[in-house]
Amino acid sequence: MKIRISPTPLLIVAAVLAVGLMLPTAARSSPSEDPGDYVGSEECMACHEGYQEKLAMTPHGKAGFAALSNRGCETCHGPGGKHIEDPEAYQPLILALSPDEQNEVCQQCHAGGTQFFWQGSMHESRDVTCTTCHGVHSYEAEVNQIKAASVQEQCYSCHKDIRAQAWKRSHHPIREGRISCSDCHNPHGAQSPKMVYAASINEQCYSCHAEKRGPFLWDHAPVREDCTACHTPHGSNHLKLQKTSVPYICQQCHSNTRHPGTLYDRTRLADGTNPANREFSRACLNCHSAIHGSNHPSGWALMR
Amino acid sequence: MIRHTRQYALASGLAVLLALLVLPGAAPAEDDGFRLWVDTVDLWVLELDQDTKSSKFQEYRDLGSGLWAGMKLYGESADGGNRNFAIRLKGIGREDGRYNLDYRVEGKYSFALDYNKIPHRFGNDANMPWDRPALNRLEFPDPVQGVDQDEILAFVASADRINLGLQRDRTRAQFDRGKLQRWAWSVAYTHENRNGDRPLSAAFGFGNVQEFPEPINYDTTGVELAGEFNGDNGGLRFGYRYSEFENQFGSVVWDNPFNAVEADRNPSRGRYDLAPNNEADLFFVEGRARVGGWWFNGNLVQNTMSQSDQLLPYTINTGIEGEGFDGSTFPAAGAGLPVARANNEAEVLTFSLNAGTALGEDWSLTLRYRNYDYDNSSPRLRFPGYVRLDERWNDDGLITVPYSYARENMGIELGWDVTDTTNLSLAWTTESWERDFREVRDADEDTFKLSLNSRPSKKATVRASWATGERTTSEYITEAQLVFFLDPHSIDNLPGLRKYDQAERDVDDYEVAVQLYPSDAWNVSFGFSGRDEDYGKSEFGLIADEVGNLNFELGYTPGAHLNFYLFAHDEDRDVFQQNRQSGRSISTDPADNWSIALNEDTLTWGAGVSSDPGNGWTFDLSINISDTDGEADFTTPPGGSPSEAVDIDNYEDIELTAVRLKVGYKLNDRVTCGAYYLHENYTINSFILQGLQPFLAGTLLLVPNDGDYRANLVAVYAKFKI
Repeated sequence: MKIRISPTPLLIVAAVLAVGLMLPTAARSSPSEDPGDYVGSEECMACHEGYQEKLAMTPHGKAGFAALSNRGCETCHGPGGKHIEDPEAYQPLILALSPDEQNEVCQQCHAGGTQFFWQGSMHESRDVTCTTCHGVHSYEAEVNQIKAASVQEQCYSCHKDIRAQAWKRSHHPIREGRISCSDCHNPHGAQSPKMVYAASINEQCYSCHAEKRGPFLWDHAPVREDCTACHTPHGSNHLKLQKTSVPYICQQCHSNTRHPGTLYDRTRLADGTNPANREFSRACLNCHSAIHGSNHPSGWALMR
Repeated sequence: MIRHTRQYALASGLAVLLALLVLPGAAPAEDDGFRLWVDTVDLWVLELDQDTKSSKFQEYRDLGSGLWAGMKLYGESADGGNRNFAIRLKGIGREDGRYNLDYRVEGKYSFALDYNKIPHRFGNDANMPWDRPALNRLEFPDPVQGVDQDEILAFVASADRINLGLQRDRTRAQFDRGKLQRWAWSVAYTHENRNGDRPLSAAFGFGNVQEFPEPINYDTTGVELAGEFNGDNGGLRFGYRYSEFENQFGSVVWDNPFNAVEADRNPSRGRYDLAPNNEADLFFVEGRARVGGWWFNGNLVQNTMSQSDQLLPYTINTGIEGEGFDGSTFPAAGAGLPVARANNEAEVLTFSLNAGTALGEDWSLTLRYRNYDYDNSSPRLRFPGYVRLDERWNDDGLITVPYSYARENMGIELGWDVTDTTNLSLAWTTESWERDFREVRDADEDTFKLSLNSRPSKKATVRASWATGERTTSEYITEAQLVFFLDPHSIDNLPGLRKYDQAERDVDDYEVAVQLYPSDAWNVSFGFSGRDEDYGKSEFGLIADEVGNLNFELGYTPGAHLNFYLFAHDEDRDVFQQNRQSGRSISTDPADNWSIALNEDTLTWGAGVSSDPGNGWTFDLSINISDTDGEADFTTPPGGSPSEAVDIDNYEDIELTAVRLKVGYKLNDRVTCGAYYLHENYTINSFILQGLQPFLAGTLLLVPNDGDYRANLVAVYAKFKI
């Protein structure tokens, strides 16, 4: 086994974690903490009618929330005393804070779980805030208080190219609502490429396509490295989410003697003047169908 | 699976509707301070009219005529909801049903159960000339197998039909204790069964290819145990995951339609090895910390993937004799293997560490490091030869190749808050590959990226980025493709070809996205993005791959009662590749060159309006259209072979139109009813599927129908809030 990691980084991260965890607890502060100014949620509801009803069906309106904080609305919004004194002059709006400050409010509680790696994540570094996607008081999705009707609709609001790809002929069942973006990606951040949950894109793919995990007796080398070398996961005009259709994607690497390097044009199609089963139906995969690997002793050319 | 007839569906749906309307409102059942109530019941009666038998309309869903039912059942303790219970059922009994159960005691523990049924239909009415005494045994009827070709063709043309598709049934159960607490623990169990038939093909030679249904019965089971600590200045996560894949069918055996008598060089049947059972064990430790103005994120993951499936013999053909390294002979259908089982294993070690800090008030620094080491430690097995296509022994000695690689990423990013609302960042990343047994041992790709994030006002957001990178590699060794062979072989791939995943390249990546909110009611967004991959240093293979996107979106929401949107997106992709046609030996004649320019232009647009005028009526109308035009243009110089080529003008021309209309009327606080209409029109003109016949050019094909359709779905529904 080739160990290409020196132990130094491991020791550094272990030491940093140990020191960080042992440091004295620093009191977290809400944006403008002033205990004297807390007024209680009942005061808020006196003017802000309707919010309590919406909150009641969310975790923030349950007794469990009260067990974590007895400050109700002011847990997130901060003390309301000044606001009551002069509602126009002082408005404890979360949206008035900077993106980092907004996220700090939520991370008072939501620092673990899927939010564990929020700091330094792609969305965090692009100044996306929790409230960009989640609505505490107003939301449409059934779960996770997503503002849009579904996770994917929320993601599409920025990732418009992915929405377009989802309408293509070959696609994962995202627009049918059978899986969602967050089944593969952790929008709150991950240490892996493309924010997938698994340690690599391939390992993420194996979570649903475990039959391709191998390792096989005869592996197809690029398959083991990167499924996206040949497949585009969000949608394709070609069969099986192929980036480029067979046989041409195969010929980008295999232009061997005899049939692999042959020109397959209009005449070699099924209704062409000289049809060839290297071009129609599954093209190369008509014979080399074990393209992801073979466990057959005679399967080195991925044909059994 | 429920397939109601129209009459039964209508009768049962109406009966349930009537019963629910007549029954008094069910009072929440209370027991020991726990309130349980049916929140909503959804009942739909669907009527589907589709003009063809294409599977495409219902590829991942079950919208067949009949009853569709859903229900939400909630429970809550009387102490303000400290204990919560929810059951959500959708599409009860249907092939795409989804059932959830959640129970939580706030601040203490929670349990969630999710059952998700996902159909995947590959094609209907496939040509099925095979008898199936067992799901993985495909027999060509004795009177026909091996007789003259005309009789076989006639038999194939009148064969039975089969619908090809899978059903994924997924279960996930998770127990969490201490969520949002300092210490949290979780146990999760997952199971998925996949069951059905998928098209597969295999050959006995160029002129003897068969496509047949591959029987699928997969079980994938997983368990995860995890713990998490969240302190004020950091956190630690750790856990273990186990995943096991089991295939109930180790192989499939199919008859050779053109030969009934088994002998050397005359296979009467073939055996195809299906996906082997395998498993994965994974340990992970993840941490984050804040120390003295720095933040750190890191993880260490070890994943061991293994499979030790029993190996099949070299062939099923009992007429073939194999020859060992020592010249001894053995029956290839039952002996001569170096081992009985594969015993393959790959260990994957992932390590990552990110860190960042603020440099003064306006600057920030982020450092990233990641190492992914895929080490395939499978034994290198030596085979004295192999059986080609269950037809004959080939004495080319072979050795298995445990491809391994390591991928290392490093990066540094400097951020500058130009103003309170504008941030500029410059990043440099480098990605290094180290591979075993492949054409390129080492590759490095350096990328510089400039990004802008700006909110110049509350009414505008601008994001832009541009990245440029260059990949350089060590020597390209074409001979590496021969690594399977024990004895020397001459190169048969073009020496000037560079496999694109290992080739030197230049990459440009760009994106501009603007979002404007001119008023509370209006929002407008537009942008463009693209990626250009230039493999200009490759003589053959992929030379260029470019994609460009343009998008526009308009939204209008003047209040809570009206919402309108319109979007359009255009994707234009161009691929260019260069090849040279050879005969028995590699051609060195440039006149044998040919190239192909592939273009795909996809325009996707949609619009929708939803209205809730406040008089009890609701309207929701949307339209989506995806239109793709693809072309494959060939170029080949005269005088060589090939000397001319005919372009393909339907490198997948596809159009999908979907129109949805939903009208609802709120009868009272408890009952809403309405109607729903879905129209879809799908046309595909695919070069690769055009003109397919059950038997063509030596190939027996399934030719399933997943093509054009026009579908109209009409539904009436009633939603009860109880």
